[in-house]
Order: sequence, then structure tokens, then C-alpha cells
Amino acid sequence: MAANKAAKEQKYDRQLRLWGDHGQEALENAHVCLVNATATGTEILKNLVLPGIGAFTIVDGHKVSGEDVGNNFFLSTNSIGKVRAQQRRLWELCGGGSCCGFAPDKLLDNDPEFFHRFSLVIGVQLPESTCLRLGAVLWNAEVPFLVCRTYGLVGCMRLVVREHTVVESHPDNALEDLRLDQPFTELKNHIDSYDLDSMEKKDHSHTPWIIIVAKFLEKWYSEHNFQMPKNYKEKEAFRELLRQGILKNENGAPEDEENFDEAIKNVNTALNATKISSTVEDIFSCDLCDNITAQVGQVPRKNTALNRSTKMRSVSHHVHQIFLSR
Amino acid sequence: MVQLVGPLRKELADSVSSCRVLVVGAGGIGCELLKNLVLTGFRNIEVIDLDTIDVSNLNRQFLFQKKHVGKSKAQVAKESVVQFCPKANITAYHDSIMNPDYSVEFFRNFALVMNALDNRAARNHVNRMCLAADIPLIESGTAGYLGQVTIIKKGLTECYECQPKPTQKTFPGCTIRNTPSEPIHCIVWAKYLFNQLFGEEDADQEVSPDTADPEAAWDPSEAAARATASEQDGDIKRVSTKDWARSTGYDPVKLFNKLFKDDIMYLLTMDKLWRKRKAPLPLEWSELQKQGEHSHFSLVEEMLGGGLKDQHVLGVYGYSQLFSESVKTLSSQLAERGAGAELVWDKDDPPAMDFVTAAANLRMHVFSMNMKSRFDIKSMAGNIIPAIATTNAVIAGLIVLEALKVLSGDLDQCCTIFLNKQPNPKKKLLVPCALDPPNLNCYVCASKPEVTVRLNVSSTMIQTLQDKILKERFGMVAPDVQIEDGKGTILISSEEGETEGNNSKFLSDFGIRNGSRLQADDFLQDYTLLVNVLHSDELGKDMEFEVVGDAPDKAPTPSTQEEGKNITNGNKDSAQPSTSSTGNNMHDHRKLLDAETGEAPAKRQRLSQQQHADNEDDDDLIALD
Repeated sequence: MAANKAAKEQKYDRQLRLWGDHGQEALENAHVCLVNATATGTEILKNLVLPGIGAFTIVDGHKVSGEDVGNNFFLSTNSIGKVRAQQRRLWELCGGGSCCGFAPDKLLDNDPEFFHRFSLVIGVQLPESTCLRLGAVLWNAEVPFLVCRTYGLVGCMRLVVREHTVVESHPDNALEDLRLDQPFTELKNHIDSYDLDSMEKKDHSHTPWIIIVAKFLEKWYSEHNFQMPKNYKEKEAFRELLRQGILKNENGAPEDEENFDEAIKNVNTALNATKISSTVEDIFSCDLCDNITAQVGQVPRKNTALNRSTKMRSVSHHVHQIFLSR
Repeated sequence: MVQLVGPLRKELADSVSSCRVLVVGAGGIGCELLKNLVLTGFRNIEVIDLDTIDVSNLNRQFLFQKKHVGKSKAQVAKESVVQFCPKANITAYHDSIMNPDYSVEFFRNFALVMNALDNRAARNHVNRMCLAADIPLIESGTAGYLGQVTIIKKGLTECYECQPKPTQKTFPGCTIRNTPSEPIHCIVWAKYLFNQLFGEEDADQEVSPDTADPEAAWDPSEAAARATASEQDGDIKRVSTKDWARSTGYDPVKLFNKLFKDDIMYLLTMDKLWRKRKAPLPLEWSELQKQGEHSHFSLVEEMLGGGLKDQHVLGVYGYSQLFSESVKTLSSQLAERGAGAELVWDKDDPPAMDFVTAAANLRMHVFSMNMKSRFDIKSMAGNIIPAIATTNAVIAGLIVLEALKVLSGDLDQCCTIFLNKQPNPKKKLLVPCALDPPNLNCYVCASKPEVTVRLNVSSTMIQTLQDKILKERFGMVAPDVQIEDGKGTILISSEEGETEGNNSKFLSDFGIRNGSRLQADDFLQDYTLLVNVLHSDELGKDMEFEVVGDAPDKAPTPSTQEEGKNITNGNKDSAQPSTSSTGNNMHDHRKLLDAETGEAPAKRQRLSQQQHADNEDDDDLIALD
């Protein structure tokens, strides 16, 4: 068991560094359904199988034609005539998968609930009527539906999903929470322990940039009614204030003070008002917060109650991102 | 009436099926690219890669399976493709593209060259070969969710080296040896330590306390005295670290106490360093063992805590154990290889990675920094760039689309394309940018390339000129150098052994002084560079030379709020580790640019120009072309 786990960590190392082990877990718990194993469909599936999707099922009523072999990397000439849903090569890539040789329309006629079990359904090259029928079933079952179409060098895709919850958003640029506008006691005392004006050059140039920003913020406050610089113009004025603070040599030229350069560079991120973000506030002000039911705590694999209050994420062309945020 | 073969005009389809193309690299982009080429109808493909398959490749390099681990990437890629497409005529080379066998003539055989590389040195080299052969080159790169494709055509576009690329961030020696303040300093120290103990000893990778640190001195005259004293004072420097370790039989306890107790106590005597900094706290082996035995933590207990083992942070006792175990393993590996053997550090080699994890963490603890998990240390030490299948798939698709334009002779329709993580304000994920014309002052593709280098002629050795300046900085592989003194005095010959005697001599020994000019040639790359020498006695701290006109090392990287655009160069040039701090932030643009792999400056200017052209868009279509 442990050996298996270690081997998987090794294999997925490069992607774990993007979405972490929770993302990976979500991927491995997912079961995707592909309708129509065309070249586009198998390409999509390949890209899901490689990062370790838990399971996939192919629904395809067609038999393999010569045309399919020409543009599908996973089919060869000896597949012609066989059930297209049986994609042996793809199964080899991931060690298994299931297939259903019925056409989607047949399934919708006889057993629409067949589709309820999936985390996501991908429909490729579907006629509009099938799209509409399948779409209705999936919308009611709250299963995301990704519709794709390609034609020569042109293609399109459309994601149909009610709501998608993001808990671990892996932000690229987390803003600093420095509390410079509301320094806590220990911070205030520490800042006060520095006296820039009486320092020699050595110490002046080695004072951490946060202290510098804090000190000049105090100056700014006294001239601006205790308001932090808010817009670009004010922040630029604040930066200029910092620039003026750089020590000058005998000729009046500014010395090389890297800490001041750092302070100037970081003005945008350091001067953020200390407050709770609006997206977090929205969640807490939603009435569902007052009526917590058993469902709300559930891992929202199929977009349950918690989701209704959160905003929908922008659509990404990386299909698997749906699984990577819980 | 236009005849079609599939979605292509017949003329183009015929070119595609008959031309020869070269794919450099059979990794993430390479695998996807080979598949795309073959499905588009390309039939004569040559692929080259010097690497072998690793387990960590299997999450995206789909031509490889577990059974192929250890085999040649180029070879297995060819075999897998041929299975899926027997008609394809593929030649695989398990070799380095920098091998002189791949001459300008070799490159001239191809209609098109496509890079699928992960390091700057190879990209520089292929850039020059394609310029010399005048063959179009499609360059690309990916990192995490980001990717980029561009075209390089001599005389028409910028070459790969037209814009200066930020060089690898290095840290001053005294920061590494005396006053580390960030985890990365400790990780660099640990990698140096590995080399000092088990690998190739490098004078630039000292780990012992730096007595010549100017900051340690109370006044300038003392600094000078310290500098001379450290040169004379034998016991730390005269005996090499490896020899000393060998004399103790690589005893982990003795090593531990020297590095984390004795050396730290020595640093404490340099009291000026600790006036404004938190002083380091020495560790002692036997004390630590006593504490460890009483503590409730054990390695096993921590592992059972669930989650990925690698992401746990052990306690200082745990890391002392890890240090001891890895030292034993590595020293016996070394012994097995016999006299004069050297180990090479590899992030995917468990004992080597364990050693760096342990040593770095112990040092972090000594200097009051929070310790890090093996997972995070591996990212930083190994310059790991996260990678997934989909980004490579998209980029490989774009490469082929650009290739079709090139083959149709429609170079004016080619552009640079960026793949972003979020849609831009115009809702585009894929953003095309106009190609730039060549930089007339480019030190590679200008008609008579020239640079000016500032250095100290009396203290710069010929060896440094060859290795650090011409090879590392200017990307030459086998330079020949002569002085422009009317006599054509030869300084360096690419023929082995011919000028070895010159290596440890100084430039001034050959009469080189301020204003001298050197002609450097790399005949393989068909590249001549004129180097103007500017003598200076006062170079920056730890700087051996400076290229005049370069962006200075501390040039601000784009702020976290800008979208830095970059071709990501991969992780193979790991002189210094990347500065990224946590696994989850790997796709921070700023960190990508800071890392040695970081590339081209933000191209925002170009984007706004392009937006004018973007007015006619069909928003429901994702612009692929």
C-alpha cells in the first residue's frame, strides 16, 4: 500500500506541485463519461487519463470507420468495423475503463439515470437534438456537461454547469496581509523602535522594507487625514515620498539603498486595507449559512447545497480543473 | 478550383508529406508534437533527445509507459509512434544536439526545425545553428498552465538571443556561508555541501565560515587584515572538505558537530554580524539524541498522520537522523566507486535528496527559520517546473499550426502566441502577438556581433574567459579565441590540449588591457563574436565580470500584478535553485521569471498593439489561428 502510494507520488510529482494532494484526490475520485469516441473525444480522454482520473466510461453507438483511423491516434486499421467505444489503446494507457456500445439516444430512451453517476459528461460531435435531451437530464441531475465540436481546423466547446464551488483556489498572487493600516501592539512597538533619521548609512540601508513603508505611512497619515493611499495617483505620490527618503551622498545624488527599492516596488501589495474579502463575506451572508444541513458539509462532487452561494468560476479550457477545486 | 486533401490544400498536403522536419526534444512537448505531426500527414521526421525516461515523466509523456523507464526517450518515442502510425518514417537520435556531428549541413537538410527543449543552453545553440543554416525555427516552452510558441527566421524576426534574458539569480558567498536569512540560502548551502563531500569540489561552492566577509569587520583595516588572514589561515581552507571528511571516515556525528556546532560557534565569534541579526544557535549531536529519545514524535508516527509523506515537516531530531542515514548511504556509494570517484547531485536520487533536505533544514533551524518539507525543498533545490499534459497538448497543436503557415510560405501570418491561465479582458486564453524584427545590435544575429565585457585583466584567468564568459554567458560550445593585436595571437583553441597551458594564466599575461579586442569563434555554430575588454578594478561583490549594456542583476522583475510573459526554459540549468517557496505557488509569474528558467521580459507593449487588430473577433470561437 505504502509502496503504491510512493510510486504514485513520484509519477504525479510534477502536477502535485500545481494542484496539491487534494486536487489529485478529487481527480482520482472522478468518473467521466465520454459520448462519442472521435479523435477529439479520445484526445480529451487521454488528457484526463494521464493525470490520473479515477474512471471513465465511453458511450458510443458507432463502429470504427476508415475515417476514424485516419485521425485518431488510438485506433489502427485492424479496429475498423469494431465497436468504437472499445478503445483498447486508451485502456492500456490507464489500465482500464468501461464502455457502452449503445448510442446516447438509446440510453436516454431507456435509462436516462445512467448518466447520473458521473462527475462530468463530455459530448463530442453530438447532433443538436441529442444535446438538448442529454443537456436537460444532466442539468436536472446537476452533472456538468461539456459540449465539443470540431470541424477541420476549427472547433468550439461549451461548458454547461449550474454552479461550481472553489474552496482551495491556489491563488497565484496572494496579497500580503501586513496589517500596516492597523498594526497590532507588538508590530507598532517594533516599528517605533526604529528611528530612520538618526541612523548611519549602514543601518539605514539594512532596515527591512516593511519598516520603511510603515514609517512613511505614518508621515502620510499626518498629511492625509489618516487615510491610506487609495488610487494609482496617491500610491505614486507615496512612492515619491519613499524616494525622497533615500539617503544622499555628498554630491546630493541618491545612495544605493536596495531596501528602499524593495519598499517602492512593494507599495502596491503592502498597502492593502485589512479587511475580509467580499467573496468570503458573501458566503457568510448567504442564508444557507444559517440553515446548515447535512448536505452542506459534503464533499461537493456533484455541486450540492453550499455551491449556490458562491460565484461561478470562469471557464477554463483545461477540463480537469473542474475536479481540482472542491 | 482548389483541391483539398482533408482540411489542407493539395499543395500544402504534398509539402507536408514530403518534407523533412527535425524535432529537438522528445519530452512533454515532444511527445504531443510527434503525434500531431504524424496525424497531420508529416512523414519524414527526425527526433533527438539525450535523456532517458523517468517515472515523473509518465503523467504527461504519453508515448512512454512504466515498462520504458530508463530507456532512451527518442528511441521509445519513435517506437510508440510507429506502432500507431506505421507509415511514418522516423529517425531517432539518442544524443545531444550540441554534438558536432549535427553540423550546419545537417540542419540544412530540413525544411523546418521545431524545438521541444527544457534548457537555455540548447536553445541558444539550436538558435545559432538555424541562423547559420537559414532554416526556420519554431521555438516553444511550457510551465504549469502557461505556454508560448514563436517563430525564428533569420533576417525576418528576432532570434532567440536578440533580447537579453535575465540571468540566474545568485547569492553572495557570505550570505550562503555566514548569514543566511532565507530557506533558499540554506538549500544552496546544502547543495554545495553535497558537492564538497561527495561530488566535484568547486572553489565557488565553499561552505565553511567566510572569515573574509567584509561585514564582519569593525573597520576597513580590519577587513583587509581578515582577508589576508583567511588566505593564510590554513585549517579551514587548506585541507579540502572532502579530505577532512574522508579522514573521519565520513562519520556522521563528527560531520554533524563540525557543521552545526563548531562552524556555528566560529560564526558567533564574528560578533559584528550578529549585532542586528538574530544569532545562530548551535546544535550538538548527543544533546539532540537525548531530546529525541524523550520526544513523542517519531518518524513513523508522523508518516501515519496521512497525507503525502513528502509534505511533512519533521522535527530537528528527525532531520538529524535523516542526515546521519543519508551520509552513511552516500559515503558507501562513493566508496563503492573507488578512488577519485565523484557523485553528481540529482533531485530524483533519494539519498541525495534526503541529504539536502536534512542538511538544509538543520541549517534553517540553526538560523531560526521554519523548516520545510522534502516536497518544498525538492522544488527549490531541483528547480522543478510543474508540468501537465494539457498545456503541452495545446502548445504542440499551436506549433503545428504555425508550421503549416511556414510551409505554405505564409511567414507574414506567423506570430508569437501566449497561452494564459486566465482569459484576458477580451476573454481570450490564447493571445497572439506580432513578431518583432531582429535587434540590429544582437550579439548573435547582427551582421558583425560585438559585446563589451567589464572585468579585471590581472585577476581573470583564461579558463574563466572560456568557461564562464564564452560558454556559459555567451552560449558557445567550443570557442576559439584570438587577440586582435595584428599578430592574431591565439588564446584559446577548441582543439583539446592545444592551449591548456594558458588556462591558469591571466589575461594581462598576454598583454590584454583596457580597450583590447578579442575575436571569439565557434565554428560549429558558424558564429563570430568580437569582445571588447573594459578593465576595472572595482567590480561588484562576488562578480567576476559584467556584460556592459545588460540588465543589472537587481533589475526589478515584473510586479506580482503584471502578467509576465515568458518562454519557460525548463529546469536543466540548475546552477542555483529556484526561489519559489511553496508547491502551490509554482505558477506565480514573478517566480518563474526569477527562477533560472525565467525568460523574456513582459510583452505587454506588444499586446496593446495587437488589440487594435483584434477588433474583428468572434467571441464564441477560441482563436486557434
